[in-house]
Amino acid sequence: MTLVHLALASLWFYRRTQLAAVAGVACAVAVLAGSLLVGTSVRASLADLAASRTGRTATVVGTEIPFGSTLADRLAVQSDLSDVSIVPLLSLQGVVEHPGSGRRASNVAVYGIDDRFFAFHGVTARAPDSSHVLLSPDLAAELGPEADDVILVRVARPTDVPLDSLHGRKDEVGRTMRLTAGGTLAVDAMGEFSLNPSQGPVRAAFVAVDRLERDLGLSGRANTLLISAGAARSNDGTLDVRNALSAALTLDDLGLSIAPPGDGSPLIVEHDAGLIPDPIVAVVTRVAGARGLLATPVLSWLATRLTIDGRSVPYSLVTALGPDGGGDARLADLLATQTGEAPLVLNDWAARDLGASAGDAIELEFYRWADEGRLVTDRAVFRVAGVVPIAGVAADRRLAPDYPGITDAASFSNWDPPFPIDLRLVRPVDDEYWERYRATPKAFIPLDAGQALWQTRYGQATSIRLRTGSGDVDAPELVADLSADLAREIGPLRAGFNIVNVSAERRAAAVGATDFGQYFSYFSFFLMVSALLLAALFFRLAIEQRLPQVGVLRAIGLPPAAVRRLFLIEGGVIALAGGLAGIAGAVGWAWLMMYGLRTWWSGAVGTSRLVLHVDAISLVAGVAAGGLAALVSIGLTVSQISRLTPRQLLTGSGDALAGVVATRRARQVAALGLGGALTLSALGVSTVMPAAGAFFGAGALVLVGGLAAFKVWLGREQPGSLASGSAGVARLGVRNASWRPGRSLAAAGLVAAAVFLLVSVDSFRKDSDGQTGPHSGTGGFALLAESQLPMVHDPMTAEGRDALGLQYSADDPDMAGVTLLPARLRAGDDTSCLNLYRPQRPRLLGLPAAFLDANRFRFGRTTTETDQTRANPWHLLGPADADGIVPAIIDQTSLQYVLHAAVGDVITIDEDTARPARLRVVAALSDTVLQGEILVAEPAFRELFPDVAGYHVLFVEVASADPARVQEVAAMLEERLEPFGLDAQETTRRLAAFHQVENTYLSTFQTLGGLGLVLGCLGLAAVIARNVLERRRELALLGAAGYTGRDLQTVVLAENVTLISAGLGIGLVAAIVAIGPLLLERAGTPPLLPLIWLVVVGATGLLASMAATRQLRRLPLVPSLRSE
Amino acid sequence: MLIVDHLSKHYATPRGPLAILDDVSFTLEPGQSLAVMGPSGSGKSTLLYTLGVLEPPTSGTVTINAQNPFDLGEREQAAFRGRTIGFVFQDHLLLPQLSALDNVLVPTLATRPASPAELVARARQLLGDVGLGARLDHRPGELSGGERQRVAIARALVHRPALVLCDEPTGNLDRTAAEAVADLLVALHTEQQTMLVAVTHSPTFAARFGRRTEIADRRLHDIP
Repeated sequence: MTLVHLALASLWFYRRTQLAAVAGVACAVAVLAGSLLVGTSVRASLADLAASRTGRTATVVGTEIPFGSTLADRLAVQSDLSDVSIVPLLSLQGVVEHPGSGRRASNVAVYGIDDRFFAFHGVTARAPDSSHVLLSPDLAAELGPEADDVILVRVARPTDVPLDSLHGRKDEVGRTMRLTAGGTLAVDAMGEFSLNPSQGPVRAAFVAVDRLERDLGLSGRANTLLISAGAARSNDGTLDVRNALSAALTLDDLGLSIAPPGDGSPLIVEHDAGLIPDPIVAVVTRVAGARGLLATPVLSWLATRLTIDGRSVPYSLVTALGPDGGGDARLADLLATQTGEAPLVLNDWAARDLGASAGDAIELEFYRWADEGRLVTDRAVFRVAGVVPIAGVAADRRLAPDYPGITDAASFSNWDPPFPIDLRLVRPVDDEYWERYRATPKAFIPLDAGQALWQTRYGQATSIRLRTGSGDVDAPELVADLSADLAREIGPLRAGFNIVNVSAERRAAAVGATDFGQYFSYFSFFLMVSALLLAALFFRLAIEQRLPQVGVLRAIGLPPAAVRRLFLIEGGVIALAGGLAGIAGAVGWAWLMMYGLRTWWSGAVGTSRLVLHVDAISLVAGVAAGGLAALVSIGLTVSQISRLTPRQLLTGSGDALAGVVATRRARQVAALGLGGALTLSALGVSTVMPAAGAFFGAGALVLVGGLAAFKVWLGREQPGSLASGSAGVARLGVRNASWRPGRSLAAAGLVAAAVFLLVSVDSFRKDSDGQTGPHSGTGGFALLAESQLPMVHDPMTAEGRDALGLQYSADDPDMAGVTLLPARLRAGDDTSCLNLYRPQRPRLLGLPAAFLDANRFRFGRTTTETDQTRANPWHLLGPADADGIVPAIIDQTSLQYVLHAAVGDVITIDEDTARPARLRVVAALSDTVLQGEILVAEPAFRELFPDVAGYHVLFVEVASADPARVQEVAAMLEERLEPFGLDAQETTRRLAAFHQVENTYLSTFQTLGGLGLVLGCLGLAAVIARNVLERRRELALLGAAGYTGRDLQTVVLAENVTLISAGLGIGLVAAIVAIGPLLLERAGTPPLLPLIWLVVVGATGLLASMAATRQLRRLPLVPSLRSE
Repeated sequence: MLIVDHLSKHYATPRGPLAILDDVSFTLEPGQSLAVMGPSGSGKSTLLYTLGVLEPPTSGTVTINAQNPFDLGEREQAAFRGRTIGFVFQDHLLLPQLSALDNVLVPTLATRPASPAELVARARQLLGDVGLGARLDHRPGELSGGERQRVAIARALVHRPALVLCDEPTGNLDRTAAEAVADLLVALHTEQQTMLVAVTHSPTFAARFGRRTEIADRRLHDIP
């Protein structure tokens, strides 16, 4: 005879009761392991989806400014990339329209491809010819074109010269191509090709690369390289790609050129952008210095007017030179003249024309493109330091970089600059000068003075002149060597090449912003607790049946530890059996949940592409965790036995086990719970703690305290006698609730917990109606519009609106009552809950000062310390601090659930790029439409992303709240800003989309909680039936004493109504405390759905009780009495 | 030898301490037997459970074979019970999931027997002694009330205890069965020279004991 033998014999003997416990454990394990499987399945589905969309792409190389597409061939011969495939393509964002139906889709990825694209992915398909476009399945479904229908594709035009600079072609931000629908590119033929992980529909258009190159003027250029994973290489091969790029890049790829010498003049380094970025100036200076060359930056600018005493020369080039005067000693001396104002040196033509002489004050008028998107005319006064002849450096027309439309024009009348010129000011002598000297500067100023006037975020030098110390260079081979040195030293990252390890990003993103395994574990928590409670309850019933046996074992010398061991062996077998049984249940449960996510709850995930993936690790983890939880709950029951004396056990007192939890302790728990609830409520009211959290915590404590108080009530003295009649019968039932206080407490606790959770959670439902005020979730903006192409003009000014083609007159009735606030956008991954993937490169908005001053939206937590920021937390945004950390504001929901950070945290974005940025979260918005992006101040945005030109987002306020007017404004904006591919969305709808996700999660929780309740009620019915069975002798005695079957049913029903009422009452009070702030917000209006839940809980409990007590009507008196 | 010296037992109740036994003293030698009678609630079972080291006395001492078991720790106390005391209860309290033989062997769970086979042989022999040699594999549900009680007696004796305590061992049996059980109990006690203490309402059963006592007013009185 061993303990194991006894345990196994006991399990077999009590198998019917124990099977119920096994079923309870199996339920818990199935739910827990199933929930983990849901998490695994979502992750695996996302990974599969991302993998299918990126095809064989392992690494992507991309740039803002296109490079020579031969780079792919040059890379392919590099040893680091000898075993990979590389394909170049043009990848652009655009708008696609189907004129036949008038349907338009924005945010479309437009790819310029050829057959190499399909060969790269191992797909048998042909690239479209130059007149056709292939659409992704989702885009085709959205636009619905027939074969050979006309399709208009409008894309942003990559430019060498930044749009946000004076010389940027702001009137040519995009190109529209008229193409013919060539059909749908199937999913298995890379029709869903996408480099941005997203579970949503893929809008992609595939165009012949030669057509795209031709229309955009990008012949032989590409902006993206797809690189496959090599056979012997890991997926983390970005270093190999970087090394290969460093070796393969030429200066041309970097947008740089070195004008070759030949006439004894210096080498001139220029950039296609016109201005040379400062980091590249530094590298050129260093590399040139290493070869014994002097590097002199030059900054040339167009002066719209040079004026002395009313005499003017129009449109003159002015060059700022360093202290060496560009190698001209005379110029250097003159520019070093101390004259009060900064010195200016005129060439003799200009001096003659202006009648200038040394010492004259000269006004220099020039255009500047202000950061906020306006052309500004500035003036500066210089003092004429001297006059030089047009010879030597002063005759060098290469001091001005090539500006298409200006430097290549034959005469002034042929100028086509991206800014206004007044040809009436141009005199014949000016044309003569242009004809003779072209862009030769008419004036020179010191470099520092020029840079103070004309520097931009794109740079502060238009060229760099390289000379030897003894004179100009003339060795042609030096150019080749220098070019190679510069290309290597500047390298791909500094030149703006982004190397993205798509495979690694895909894996990281597929982890998901939301751990569905965790979520479904939370959602199913109540169900699991119900199952575990039931398992423990049935196990407890089995033990209670055997208390005298335990007494015998103790009496004959078995120590309490051995008794514990005995029951733990039994519990272990039950947990193991339940765990194994739960495996099948887990797969079934996960399948059901995945089905739910694809159908009932698709609002939370926005895709139907989630499928079940069964993996052993989740199953084993779920079984282990569920089994362990079951074992713990069984262990807790067993540990109570150890505290009973053998005599209590031998007498088999029903109260003995339940009475273990001392009334005194219950009283303490009640006092602590209720006291803690009061404290938390006070903290919530005084805003020391966030109100929602404080009150939810208080509610939970009320629940615990209330149940402890109920325990005290069950164990109280019961003075007085029962009344006669039906009231007395009912009172007998109420008193009977104390018979097995443990069971009573468990039953009431189950109901109370269910009510608490279902009611309190429902109150977190979010409503988008009425969110129209400036401090609501919409910020008072009726529309939020986003353009595909940059709007470089400021829409807040009349001139800007005019330039954008938005409003030509101040009294335009369509624009009446419409106020626009623009924002800059760094496109990237959506940070809202609509994106299941973990954002790798989040979207960022740069908000202008006017937006910050408007103090819109509402805030949750902030880091405000001053009255000013308390009054308007938007003013927490500003420039980067001394450590380079930029203040940022993020919506609380995105911050917590997607970015997994908190207010005060520093988060790093673009970590694996050449330009990682650190952001400090200074405040969190509370439930707003701005969940999809991180918000920073515009100046900080420009610092972070100097290459991002123009505005892409418009916040639109409409004075009229009439929905028809709002829709009218939306249509008007989309029509007038059609060249920019503007898409306007009503903010309330956008907010509702976010709310739908959160509300769907709540529904999921409630559905699973409801299932938990059903399980709880079944358990309640089982407990009642068990009680009736155990007390049949007592009930039969009552029957013998004259009680009718209905009376007996009343006794038992009264007991159970007491338990259900206690559970409902305690749960309801706890829930009301938990949702206190929301109730106050809603002027005391209780949420309707929870009330329905209360009725459901009560009715279910009552029905279960009635079903369980039906047997009492047929109670056989004599056999029941005989069992006495 | 059992020595009970000035034993008192009180219970704490919400209305103050409730005295059950007061200054009870007696001794019992091996081979001697003691019957304790008295009305319900007089403290008979309390005395039995205290002698069985299942409940500690409020004051006074109990010494069994020169050892005060209440001086021992919980684990040692349990071992002492298993080694020294055998119990027979009114409700036989057999484990329904086990056979008669396994029920007799249940006390071996508490010890680590040097020779399990020897214990099994003794259990078989005891069951044979109580007339159930042919019912070894029967479960309690397959035995009559008297048979179950005989299994319980065999279980009490399997470890050759010095002290056998019986709580109304014939209380649930009809007269024939009760007499058979009483005969068996006394015979085995005599044969094995145990100290036997039994609580009973039955004067007939008590008459078989060497010493008969009654608890009245919380004290133990000899019945002539």
